[in-house]
Amino acid sequence: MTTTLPPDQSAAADEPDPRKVSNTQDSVQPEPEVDLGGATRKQVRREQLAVLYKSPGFIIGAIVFGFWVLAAIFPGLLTSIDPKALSSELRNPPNADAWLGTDPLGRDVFSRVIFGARPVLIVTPLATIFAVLAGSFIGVAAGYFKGLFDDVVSRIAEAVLSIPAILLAIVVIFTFGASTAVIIGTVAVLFTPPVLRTVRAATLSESELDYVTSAKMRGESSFFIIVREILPNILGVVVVELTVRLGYAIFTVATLAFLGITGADPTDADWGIDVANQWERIISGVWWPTVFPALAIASLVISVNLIADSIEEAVSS
Amino acid sequence: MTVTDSAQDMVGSDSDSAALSVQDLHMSYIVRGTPREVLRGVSFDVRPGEAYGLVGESGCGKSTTAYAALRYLPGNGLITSGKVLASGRELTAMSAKDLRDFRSTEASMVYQDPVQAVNPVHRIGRQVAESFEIIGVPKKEAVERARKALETVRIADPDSVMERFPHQLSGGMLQRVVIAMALASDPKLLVLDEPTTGLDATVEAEVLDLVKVLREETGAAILLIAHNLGVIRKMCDRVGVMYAGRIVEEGDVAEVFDAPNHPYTVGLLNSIPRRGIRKTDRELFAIPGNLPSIGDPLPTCVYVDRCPIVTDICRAEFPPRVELGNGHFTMCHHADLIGNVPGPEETEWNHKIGTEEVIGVDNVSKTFRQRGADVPALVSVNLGFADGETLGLVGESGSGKSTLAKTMLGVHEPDEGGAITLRGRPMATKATSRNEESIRAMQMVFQNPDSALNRSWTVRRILTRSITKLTGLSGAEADARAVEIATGMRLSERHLDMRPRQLSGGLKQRVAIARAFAGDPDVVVCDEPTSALDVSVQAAILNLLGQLQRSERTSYLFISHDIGVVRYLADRVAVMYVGRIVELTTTDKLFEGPNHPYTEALLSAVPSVDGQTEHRIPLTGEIPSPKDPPPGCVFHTRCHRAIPGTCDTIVPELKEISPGHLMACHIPAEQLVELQAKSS
Repeated sequence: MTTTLPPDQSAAADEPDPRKVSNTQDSVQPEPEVDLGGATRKQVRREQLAVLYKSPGFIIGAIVFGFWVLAAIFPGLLTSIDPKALSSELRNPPNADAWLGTDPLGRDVFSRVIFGARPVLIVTPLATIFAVLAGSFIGVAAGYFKGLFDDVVSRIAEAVLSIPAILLAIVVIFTFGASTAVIIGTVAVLFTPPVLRTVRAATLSESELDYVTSAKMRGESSFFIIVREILPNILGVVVVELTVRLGYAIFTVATLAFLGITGADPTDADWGIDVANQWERIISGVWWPTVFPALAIASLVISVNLIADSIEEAVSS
Repeated sequence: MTVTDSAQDMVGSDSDSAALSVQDLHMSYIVRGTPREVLRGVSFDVRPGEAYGLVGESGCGKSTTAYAALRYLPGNGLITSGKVLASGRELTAMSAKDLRDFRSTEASMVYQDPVQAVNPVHRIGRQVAESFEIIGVPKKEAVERARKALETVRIADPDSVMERFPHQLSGGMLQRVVIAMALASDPKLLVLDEPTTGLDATVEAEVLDLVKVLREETGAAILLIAHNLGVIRKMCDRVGVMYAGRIVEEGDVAEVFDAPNHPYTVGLLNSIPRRGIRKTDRELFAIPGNLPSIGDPLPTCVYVDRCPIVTDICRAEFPPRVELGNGHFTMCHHADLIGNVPGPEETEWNHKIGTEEVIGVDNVSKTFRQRGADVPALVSVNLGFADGETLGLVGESGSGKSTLAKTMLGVHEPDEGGAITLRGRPMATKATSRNEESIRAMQMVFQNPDSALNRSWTVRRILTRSITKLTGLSGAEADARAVEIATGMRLSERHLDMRPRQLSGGLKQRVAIARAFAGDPDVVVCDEPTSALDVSVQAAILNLLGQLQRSERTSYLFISHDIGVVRYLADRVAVMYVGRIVELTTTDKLFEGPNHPYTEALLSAVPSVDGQTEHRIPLTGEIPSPKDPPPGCVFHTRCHRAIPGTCDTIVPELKEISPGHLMACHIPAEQLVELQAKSS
């Protein structure tokens, strides 16, 4: 079978390999290729969702994540105690009244953990969405046009990636001042390059396919080819990126809060700030004001990653 | 040939002495918890020293049978009943250890893709030696034996090949290496699963010749799986025709192919262009319907749903085994009515090829820049298409066929001085800068519809977009036109709202053809449009292309490696070698001769299902890289008729040797006639 490879394509052989398609339907795989002839797209999607719903990782992840979303939107449903209210009950370990104990200022740790979900869950999803949008558009353009544009964009992305994230965030925040908008912008900029690289790689292999050649032969514009032809086929990659990056963003934002550079009021309920304020007291046995916010961060990150993994699995199934 | 001799010698052997005996094998794959039957009682014997072929369309269970026979089953494969015996030992009841011993010493397998069969990070020598170490040869001796094994498979310079990595070898060389490894244990049984499917015809011929010679030397029995009936005819003594997990007809290969006695075999053989038939003679026979899915219950005859001579008894009773003598049998209730199976329809081909040149390729060269070096992929190509004409384009991989197609369509820009003309006027070189008229005039059908159709679009959208872009129709008008075109391609309206992955390979290719015809093109470039399809689906697609040509007067540039298909469809044929056209003539003249020596070799490499005597002209060595083409005639390095001193220094001109027959060869035409008459 003749699959002629023009030299320009073999020159690109060091790129992620173009999708190889077998020449005959007679594949060596004894694997039963289940005939999708009868399955409609809806059925395929339903089956993918069924795989998703059956996955224990997804169920656990969704329950934990759902809990924190509820806490962020309606903290009043979960606790009636004001997280900022001081009391005379100082440093009480977890007990029937204060489930997770009280901190050295007499504030209720449980209430602070619940109310602490909101700042994280406002900043990180917004930042992630911006990063994924920017990364996808630049990445798909870089992967499609290749050449100089790709070189420039890829080198900039690599430059951003090579600077430690927190260091870069600190510089940006000290330059532009600390505010929620700046934090969102900073995290978005930090997370654009990895999204860009993944989407670029997906686009590269996609644009080797003949439907792109066919579109070029009909004289379609590059904009049309990118947005209408290629983008729908790499949406799965984008969705996976969205969830994966959300997990990392939560971690980064909590770290910035811990460093106290988010510009938030230090008395506000915020997991990072609470960990930062209380961690030195662990040594004197007062572990609860630190460990519970830390666990909250961990559980949120893990739940997002569980969801991300399950989605990736379902998409590729 | 020893075909008939050995087959007769072996008559009377039974399952105990057979190299491989498969007896009423039933096998299922477990898919989402439910077992689905793929093999529905397969029985056959491969006698010692015999070559047995299994043919059938994709999905009929050929490969599964081969894997099941050696118990190489995937985790979800389950043998539900039946036995497999090898030299009298029951494989289906063997322990894991015995099975391992059996596979390492008595049976070997060669797969379709040699690239996947070797480890890319180890040197060839190491890998071949390893297959000797496994059977207990000491390390030092193993290296020596590996060298000898490579010599056995006719590798010219084994020492240097042993030092190389797999990616440094061509597909044909690599397949020889894999065969050398398979033969390491001197097996009694060699299973070859589509061993030449990914290779060029010329390379395929070499590998098949090698297997033939080795078979005589080693006396190994061969089980050959292939969808190409020509390959089976060339290689095998006996053949089993498989359909839906059962053997429907078996016998001596010449008898089965020349006098088929099962409706399926008849249909299969009628679907391939054989005995030199042309589109002007008759259509090809496309078996109606689809192969049953795995797991479908087929309690009686497996072919009932597609059989043209089906009667009530076929649905009620399991077909009898009808013996036709000399071991030839068919599983059919109506073996006596086989003459009633309808043949293909005669065509009324009364359209004349026009005289006006629609699209011209005028002195087109294409040079790619690759790592600072110039790579001339096309060198001064001149072609022209009259309306309603099919120009076949043949040549090995890397000869520049697809580059020419893409240059014509404006994906690549030709070098300065060349032009693609539309009715005499040059078109813009890039597709994006071509005007609507130029884009509309020329469209393309690709080899692989999976890659050529956007998988997230519906068929309706794929068609309407092309219609809008190429004709300016939009909205309801475009939609109406989409329905009209789709119907013309024998697609039904319900297919319009499906996505490509929901369609079968043949339907997908119809969508791709429909898209190409959306703007009523003058020329459609077909780049191997049927090579990913089964023969019966190929027949339907070729018929469709023929019908469209008759009704629309479309011209085709038909690129194919399959000489039979080109002969069927093409009016003229161009032969390409290293980016140059070496011969261009009418199809009749191409098959009459005289031919360019390259064409001669190419034609002789094609395995024919009719089994005529073959005088194969071997093409030694690799196709030269276009990066540094040989001086003089580019073909002289592999030419069996090269004249030293002339061919290696002077570039031959493409000149007319008789009206309408262009050839680039130093040998005068009269002399070629003589030489070629002598050799055949």
